Amino acid sequence: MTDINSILGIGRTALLAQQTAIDVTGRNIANADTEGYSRQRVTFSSLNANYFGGGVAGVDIERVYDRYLEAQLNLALQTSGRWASQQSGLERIEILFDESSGTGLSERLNAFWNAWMDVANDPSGGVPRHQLIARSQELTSLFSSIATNMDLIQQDTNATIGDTVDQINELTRQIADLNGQIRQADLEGRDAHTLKDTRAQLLRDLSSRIDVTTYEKSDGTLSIAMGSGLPLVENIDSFQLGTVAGTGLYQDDIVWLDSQGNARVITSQVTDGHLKGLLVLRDEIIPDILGQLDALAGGIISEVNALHAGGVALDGTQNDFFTGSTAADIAVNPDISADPQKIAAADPSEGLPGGNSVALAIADLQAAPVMGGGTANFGQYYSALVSDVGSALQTANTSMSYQADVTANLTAYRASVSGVSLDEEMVNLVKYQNAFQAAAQLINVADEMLETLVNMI
Amino acid sequence: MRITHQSSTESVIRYLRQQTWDILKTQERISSGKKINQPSDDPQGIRQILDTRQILSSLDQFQRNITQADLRMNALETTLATVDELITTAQDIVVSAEHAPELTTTMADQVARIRDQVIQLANTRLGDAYVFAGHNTATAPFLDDGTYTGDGGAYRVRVGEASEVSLQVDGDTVFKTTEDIFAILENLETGLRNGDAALVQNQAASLASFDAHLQTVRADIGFAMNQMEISSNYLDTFRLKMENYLTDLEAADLTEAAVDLQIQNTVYEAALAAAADLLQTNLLQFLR
Repeated sequence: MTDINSILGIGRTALLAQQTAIDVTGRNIANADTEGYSRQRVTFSSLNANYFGGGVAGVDIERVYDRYLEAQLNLALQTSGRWASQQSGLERIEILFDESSGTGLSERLNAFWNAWMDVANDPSGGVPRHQLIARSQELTSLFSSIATNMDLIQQDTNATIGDTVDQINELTRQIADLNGQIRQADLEGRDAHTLKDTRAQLLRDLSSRIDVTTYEKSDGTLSIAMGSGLPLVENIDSFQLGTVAGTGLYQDDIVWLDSQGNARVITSQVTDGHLKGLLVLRDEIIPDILGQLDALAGGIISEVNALHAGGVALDGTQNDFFTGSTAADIAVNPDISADPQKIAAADPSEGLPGGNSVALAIADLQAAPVMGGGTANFGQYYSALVSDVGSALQTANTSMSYQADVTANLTAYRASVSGVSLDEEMVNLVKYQNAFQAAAQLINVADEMLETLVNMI
Repeated sequence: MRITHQSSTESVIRYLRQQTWDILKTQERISSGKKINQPSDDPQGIRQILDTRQILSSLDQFQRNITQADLRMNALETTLATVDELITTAQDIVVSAEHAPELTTTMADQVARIRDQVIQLANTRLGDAYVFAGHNTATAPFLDDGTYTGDGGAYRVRVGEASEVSLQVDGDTVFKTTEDIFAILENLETGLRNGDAALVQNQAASLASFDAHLQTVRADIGFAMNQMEISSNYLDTFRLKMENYLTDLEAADLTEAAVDLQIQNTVYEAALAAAADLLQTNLLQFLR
């Protein structure tokens, strides 16, 4: 048996339910552009007829998201984070090896050998000697410049690693904090949708920086661990990372701090994310390039000096032509730059100033296969180095491009599940508004019915 | 698959970004005229380009070597040609002496002058180097009495990666060792002044011998000049081939690039128009 009150009851639940639905729709519309927002959806469930009549009871608000899609997206972000940091570092390095304009190291090497040949053609002339010194200084200054800039890039990368570690710590702290809030909300029966959205966004930021695995517990908290197993977030606690001085001057090690503050070195355990990309850049790519550059400079210094010190200068002395042993400290012997007469063109068995065997021999070094285990001359060794740099960047570019596509696709999939479609919300708005109006009409009718009854009396 | 307005805007942005990047790359090709502007554009190509530039640089240097050497050779040849004329004059004097003994004093003076000239020619300088001094190019190789103060250094020019032209034209080899021309001329002068006909006639044979030797030296120089010309021609041909190879490696095909740019611009404009359409149409326009 129903009475008019129950009709009013039904109307009331209907009004409230539609109102809530419009509220949720409003929330979705307002957050249409919010990054990381998962749309919320209303589900109605019907009430069994009871004392207050049937009607609509539960208005369940659920957060629409796909857990596995999120996990896949985070994995993709780790890989693209790694390639992104390598790509930007390699772009900086490539600039140092700009050979397109013809004023790079390749060109200066050629000019250096040619200057020796000019001295061989005119061993007594002052002009060829001055030119030789000028070309030599141009060569050594470019070597130093490249080496110095590479060191700078390494320093910067080291600093960026420190910054990234700080960012990771900040993110894990926030996630642990959110864990606490979410667990509390669950206990109190409140919805924690917005908190979970924020936490998911923080997790994405974290994933791009370091490789992590996650596990969501039944109490709503998210456990996060590094790829190697060390925990970063457990319940409401976060474990911090830090940096300590490492083997090289600008090669800090990354450490994980346990609950007592003891540090464990984990540099080799990082396998993905920005952090890994930066580590590869700092500890593998840069030292490799510097090593080859040093080998080139060292080779030139030792080969030229061996011949030059065996030769005899116009003033009768024997000198080294270069000082130093690496790309950073290669320099023309200051005695020679001060006095071009000390350049040795002749060998001790020849007369002065016309003897030129030593100058000829040094000029011949241009084509001598003394590098790469006897397979390449200096110029070829350098062009192989430039090629390696270009190749590394090309790989990073291709990988980055591929990863960007993968990430974009996954993001689109995620958006299709969790994103807000304004068209859809508009339709819903109309739908709920109509239902609200109908429910209001129901109450009107019930009200009129009651009035009719009352007027009958 | 649901399409949200956020994902469609993301997609639009991505594709527009890709288009503008491609257009930028094509413009770079056109402005620089090169298809390889950074090592990462083509790692293999940049290596070949640098190696080819190295070869071109050394080819240019060898040509410069040859040009400088040509100067030297020409100076030597001119000098020795003049010496040759003087020797011929001396030989004429020897012949005349036989038939005109009363002019011997005049002839002796002539021979003295010839000897002085030969010494001057032997002390020829090119720039700041004495060309007949071997490697002691800073000091005049011959003293007035015919003493040689230079050494035996050879003149060497590098005309190719493994090829060298070497000339032995030190003063000792040219003017003294085989036949000492200064001694010969001195004897001739003495003979003429003292009326020593036998001494004078002896010099005829020596003069002839020296003349033959001189021709040998001149032939050597001629041969060296020939070698250098052959090398120079070879270098020119090789250089042309290398330049063509380099152009193939690095020059951008402007026609192709211009067409690419045209296509990319058109596609870009179409994408922009489509984006404008997509972004503006939604349900709100139709709900009253």
